Amino acid sequence: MQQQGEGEGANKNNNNNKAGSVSRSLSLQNTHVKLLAFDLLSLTQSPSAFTTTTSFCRRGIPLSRVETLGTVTLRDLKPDRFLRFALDDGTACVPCILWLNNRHSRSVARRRRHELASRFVPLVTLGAVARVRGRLARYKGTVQVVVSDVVLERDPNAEILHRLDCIFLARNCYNLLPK
Amino acid sequence: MEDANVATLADLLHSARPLTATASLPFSSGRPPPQCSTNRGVLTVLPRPSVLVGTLTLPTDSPPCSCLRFSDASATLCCDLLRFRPAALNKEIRVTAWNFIPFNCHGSSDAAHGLLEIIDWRFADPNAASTLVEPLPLAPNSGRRSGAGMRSVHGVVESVGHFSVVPCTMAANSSDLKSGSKVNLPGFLVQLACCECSLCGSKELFVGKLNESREGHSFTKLEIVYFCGSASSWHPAMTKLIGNRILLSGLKKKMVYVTEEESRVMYVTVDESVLHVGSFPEKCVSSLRTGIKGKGECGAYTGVVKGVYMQGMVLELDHDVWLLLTERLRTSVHGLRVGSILSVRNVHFVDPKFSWTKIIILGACIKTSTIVQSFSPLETVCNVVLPSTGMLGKFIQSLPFSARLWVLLLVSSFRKKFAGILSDKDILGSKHKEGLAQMYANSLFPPSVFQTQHGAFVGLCTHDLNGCGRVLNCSFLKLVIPMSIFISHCIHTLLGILKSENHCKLFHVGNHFKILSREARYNGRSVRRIVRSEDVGVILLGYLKIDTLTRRLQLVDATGGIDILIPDLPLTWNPNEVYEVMDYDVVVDDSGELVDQFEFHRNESLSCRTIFNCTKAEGELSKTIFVYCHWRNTKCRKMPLFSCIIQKNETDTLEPGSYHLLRVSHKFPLQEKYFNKTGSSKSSTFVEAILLPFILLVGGKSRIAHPCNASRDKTNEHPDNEDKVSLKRQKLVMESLSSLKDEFHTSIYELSACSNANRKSEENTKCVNVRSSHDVSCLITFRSLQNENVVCPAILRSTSPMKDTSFNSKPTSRKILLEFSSDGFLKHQMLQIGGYYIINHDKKDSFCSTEDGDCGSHGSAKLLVNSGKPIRSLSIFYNENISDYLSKYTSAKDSLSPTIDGVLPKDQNLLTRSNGEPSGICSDVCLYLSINLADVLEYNIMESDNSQNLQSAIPEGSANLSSGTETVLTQPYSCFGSQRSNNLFPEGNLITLEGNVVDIHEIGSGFFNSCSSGANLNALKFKGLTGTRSSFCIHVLVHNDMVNIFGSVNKHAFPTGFGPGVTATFQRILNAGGQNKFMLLPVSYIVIKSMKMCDKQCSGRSSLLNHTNDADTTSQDSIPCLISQLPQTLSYKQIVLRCRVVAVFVLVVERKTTNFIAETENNAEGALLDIPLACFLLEDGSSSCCCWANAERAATLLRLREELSTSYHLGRLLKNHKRITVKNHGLYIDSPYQDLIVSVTSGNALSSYDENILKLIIFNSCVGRIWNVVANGMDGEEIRWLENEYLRDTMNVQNMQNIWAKEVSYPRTLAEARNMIQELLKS
Repeated sequence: MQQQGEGEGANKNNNNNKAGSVSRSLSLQNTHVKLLAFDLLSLTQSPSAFTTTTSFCRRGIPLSRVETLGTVTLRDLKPDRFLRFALDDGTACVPCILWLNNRHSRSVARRRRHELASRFVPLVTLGAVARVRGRLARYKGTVQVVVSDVVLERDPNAEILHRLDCIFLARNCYNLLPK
Repeated sequence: MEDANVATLADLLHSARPLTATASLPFSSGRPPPQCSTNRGVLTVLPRPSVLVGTLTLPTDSPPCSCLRFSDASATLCCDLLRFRPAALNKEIRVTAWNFIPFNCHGSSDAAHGLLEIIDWRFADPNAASTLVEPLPLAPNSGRRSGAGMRSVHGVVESVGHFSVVPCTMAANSSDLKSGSKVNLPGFLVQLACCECSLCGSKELFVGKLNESREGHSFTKLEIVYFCGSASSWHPAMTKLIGNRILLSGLKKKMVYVTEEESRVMYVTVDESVLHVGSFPEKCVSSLRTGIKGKGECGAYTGVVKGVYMQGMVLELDHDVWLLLTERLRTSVHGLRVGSILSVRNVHFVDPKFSWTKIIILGACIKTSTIVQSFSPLETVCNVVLPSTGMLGKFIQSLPFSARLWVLLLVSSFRKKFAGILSDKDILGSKHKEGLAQMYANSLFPPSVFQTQHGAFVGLCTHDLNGCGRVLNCSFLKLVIPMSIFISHCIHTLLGILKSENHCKLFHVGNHFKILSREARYNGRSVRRIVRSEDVGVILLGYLKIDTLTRRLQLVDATGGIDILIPDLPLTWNPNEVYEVMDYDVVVDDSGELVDQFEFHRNESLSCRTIFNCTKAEGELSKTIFVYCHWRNTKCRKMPLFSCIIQKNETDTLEPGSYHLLRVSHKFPLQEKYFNKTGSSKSSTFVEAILLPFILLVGGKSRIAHPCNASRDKTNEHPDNEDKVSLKRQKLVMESLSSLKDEFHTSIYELSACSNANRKSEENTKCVNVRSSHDVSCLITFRSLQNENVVCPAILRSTSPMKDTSFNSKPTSRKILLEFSSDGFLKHQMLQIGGYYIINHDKKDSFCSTEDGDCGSHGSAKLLVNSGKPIRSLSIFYNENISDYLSKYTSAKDSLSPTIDGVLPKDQNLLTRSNGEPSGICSDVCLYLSINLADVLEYNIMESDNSQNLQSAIPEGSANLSSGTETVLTQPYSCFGSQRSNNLFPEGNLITLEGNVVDIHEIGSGFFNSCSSGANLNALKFKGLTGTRSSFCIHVLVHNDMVNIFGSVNKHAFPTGFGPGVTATFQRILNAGGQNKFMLLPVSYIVIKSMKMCDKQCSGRSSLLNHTNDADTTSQDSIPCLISQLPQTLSYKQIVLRCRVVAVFVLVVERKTTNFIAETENNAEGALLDIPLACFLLEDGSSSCCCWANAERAATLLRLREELSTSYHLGRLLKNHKRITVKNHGLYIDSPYQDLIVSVTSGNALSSYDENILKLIIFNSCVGRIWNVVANGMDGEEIRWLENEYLRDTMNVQNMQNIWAKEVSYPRTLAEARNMIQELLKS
């Protein structure tokens, strides 16, 4: 499967949002859920009937956005195309992709987005602890996070707090929602 | 042994040397453990065995000393002995091993005296050492008669009370009571634990019982025996018998009333009383109980004396045990020498729970006895003290033990701190007057702490009831310590924090946050850390002083000083007052070195010993350390340091008169040649200022003082106060005073007349157009030292006609040079560039006399500022209903009514400092003007500024937000003529530059090559610019570019706090022509704008010190919760969410109307803008919600705090557009600009550049960190209104939870992780 262009995917995903009602499980679809990497990688994937995107479910609850935190263990930069990297949170490695392919786009918004995305590139260095938010996508059969923003974590305690957060949220929120 | 030399006491006294004669002893016996670590020498050992032969006797004379006596034919000495046997009393003994410690006897005629410590002895007559139980008559020469009413007591000695003297009347019978001779009856109480069995209860007791076994007896009943009269000399002997079984016969039984209702049976010795002591002493004193909790339990303890402090009031024993002695104990026992092993009986064990150290206090009370178990081999002095007579002694004895130790530490600290400044009498007080220490301590203790002192008998009877060993929670008692200890303690505290963290990870401060391993750091790089006052746990006390060497403001005491940075220090502080700072931050640079010193500092900490032993700090600190605090957190203690100086403080009041308005445009640093020259009288410093075309006339008849508590006590302030300032527009009343002459003195009187007229006459008839008038009525408030605002009306007079904004002409302001003599150096320090000041108008001033001359705007006159010519800082505020207040204040003034409250408007708070002013503004004088005048005045002042201004301004086109820092403006101030290019002197333009300091290092080290390039550096080396000073290279991040500023300056020339992480303005530096190379010149001045530092680095928190709110103090009483768990109708209970910003729905920013000039005071551009409303989309992983916020909270969530430049740009936008509203109509996720709709009130459309800035700010907010948001629910009505007003077109927000942010702070990751683990383990 080819790496899917970023702008396209985003629009399609937004369509889902527009349709989103405010029922609790759906509200989770608009939320960046905090999942541990092993959990994230084991989400149920089901190809959408109407679009080319894949929808993701955890225990029957649809999810589309995720927040993860970990150490950058792999970094592959293709200038003007993408930055691919992996975040290791101790439970598994989450493949992430930051699109940089809109530099010469005709759309002002996309050019602007590229400008902003390029600000995240220098933050992602090997060994850095980064907090990443993004959309769930599928690449070569596995889950991949399409990065929307990156924040460096300078606090060593942030990692353990994030892990505890994930456990706490799973126990007190995600697992409790009706399927 | 028999061939031993026999010494006499007279010989010992004659030699007056401390000696020991222990040659006959095997080495180990009678010696204290050798681990007693002290550098004191041991006693001189006599080379040959030497014995003393003499008689051991009880003391015959009255106290203070109650030692046993040893006398031979030549002299009598106080003595103490090991293995005491009552049988030895009054018998000749042979002392084979002893110590002799000479001391000067208190009060007695023979000056030479000494203590004989008898280590080993035996009876001179071997037959005397029989094991029979011998009767010992308590009174000398008493025949043994067993009278009819005589009683006997058999028991174990539990405690021996203090020796006391009871004044009483000796009467043969009751009729003689009045006429009987008055005598002082000495005596002491002994508590015996007796057996209640029938055998023991029988009237006749047999001596033989003493040799019986304890079995069958249970010694539980406590009886009191009063040893009075001649038997009182048995005190030292009885003390040594504690724990022994004794039998006392020939006692009288008495009924004694403890209180009016309560009575106790007591036995009293009479002349016939006899003591029997079991010859085989069976000690039954329980040793240190294992279950001691430190809650005041009574017990026994044995330890080595490691230090004697405060005249024997405090003894340090080993293992951090501190013994507090009573007045009586410390004066009656000589043998409390350092190195001896001391056994304390019936002492209270108290754990004071001091935050700064872990110790156990042994509190001595009326029952306590001390027995020396082993004498010290060290050459240490005896404890010879006179009873204290002052109030302090009684005060200390009335406190619980933990507080007692704290007061003793305080007294010790005070004596060190004020040594040479205050006399001991001032600190300790006298018999009738409280000293400084007592006054200070008294102010902290609640009255319930003090306990009344009972007499000996009542005290003993009610001992267990009256809470002798009660424990006081001392957590509220913070230490006051000498400055030298404070500094080392701070470093130690920091080391402790570093150690607790992973000390291999240290972050650099500033923009280059990186995790550097310890190995990766290299010398010369400084790291900056903060230690908070809570972590230090110490109160700072001292007086403010300019250090003569470094010319920096310091908080000093007699032991040392520490640099202090007080951003809001008023010009009115008094150098003779002692200031107390409780809330502060200690900033330490170069903690990189500190990490390397872990090993060295391991054992040093703040301890009682270091405080008692404090000495003056030695040498200069290698580390940069300074204290940062706010003036409003300091407390002025009324402790006149120099009581002889009773001068009226020059700045205490604002004298009526006329004042010039100045704006400081540049400060010249102290000339290099004056550094390190203390007291150089010629060391003047200069400030360049612009004289504004205004004169302030202050009336002085009567003022109204408001205590401005609100500014002190922020906690009482309603949190929403700042939101609720809704001002009623009122018509401005302007007063035309056509008859005003140029004579200012007459106008002062006219001022009050005008104010009267203002009140009495119709407003509209007197109202004239301000734009044509010279005079403007206004109110001023003056902050006096007593922390109250004095309000009085004033007139602002223009020296040239006020210019309308449309009218364009040259302003008439002029440049003047203020000269500060050496005594005014501090004032020079405190003036801020860009700040407004007022100074007395004096016709003699050179610039006044040339006012009408042709000096014009080009002339720069010089004005000497000294103590006779105070200068005060000024802030200008615009208020909408100032005229209303004017009339009310003037009416209050007329009526001269003492009941101010009745006259003043209820909502007078508008004029107090808390509401009308933005936080952080602390000018001496505040000028309140009508808001209608804002434009006119602003224009006039700006005009005058622009003509001479050096302040940087940002050219619009060049501003690039992504750069994140301030930009540069070059000003055409040429230096040395720019045409002569081949000159040796450096040449170029002088510019002002602002940026973030990233690093500073000395050139000459390995960095020289990396930093120095270009020929200009060689010019630096030119003679006169270098010399003995070191050359520095400062790396400054400006406009996303790294700029190097070179300078060859004294390190002290940098302002306090200067270092990596600060945002600083470099005034008048030389553009050296090279690529990003600048040069510090002797005229250059560095101003710190803000400090950004990484506090508690592992939490990665950076704080801007110039902001007042501590982001770390999240309300403790709010409930942590998930957004998905928020109930639909959120009550007003506070919740705390840990969440991130996903989108900004609404942002309303507007220009602050209250304050335009004050902005320069606070030096934060943020002060210019106000955020009345913002709405954020927050999410925490469980769900998302709408969070409404304003002011500080909104600014924090927008991350304006982190990027100063953004708030600067916002401020600039608001100059043109007073109010900007941004609404988000789009999808809130994944869309970088989120379809933002911007509207402005000015009517002019926002340029796309400006719009991008706004969008970028919003984008920045959405890619921020995690926040802790304390919030509560909102009213349904309120939500509907807000949604209708702002969110009608926004998608996806309907049915979303709405909350109102009360507080935004950084999460305390570690603590929260801990809590969460607990939470998870529970579930």
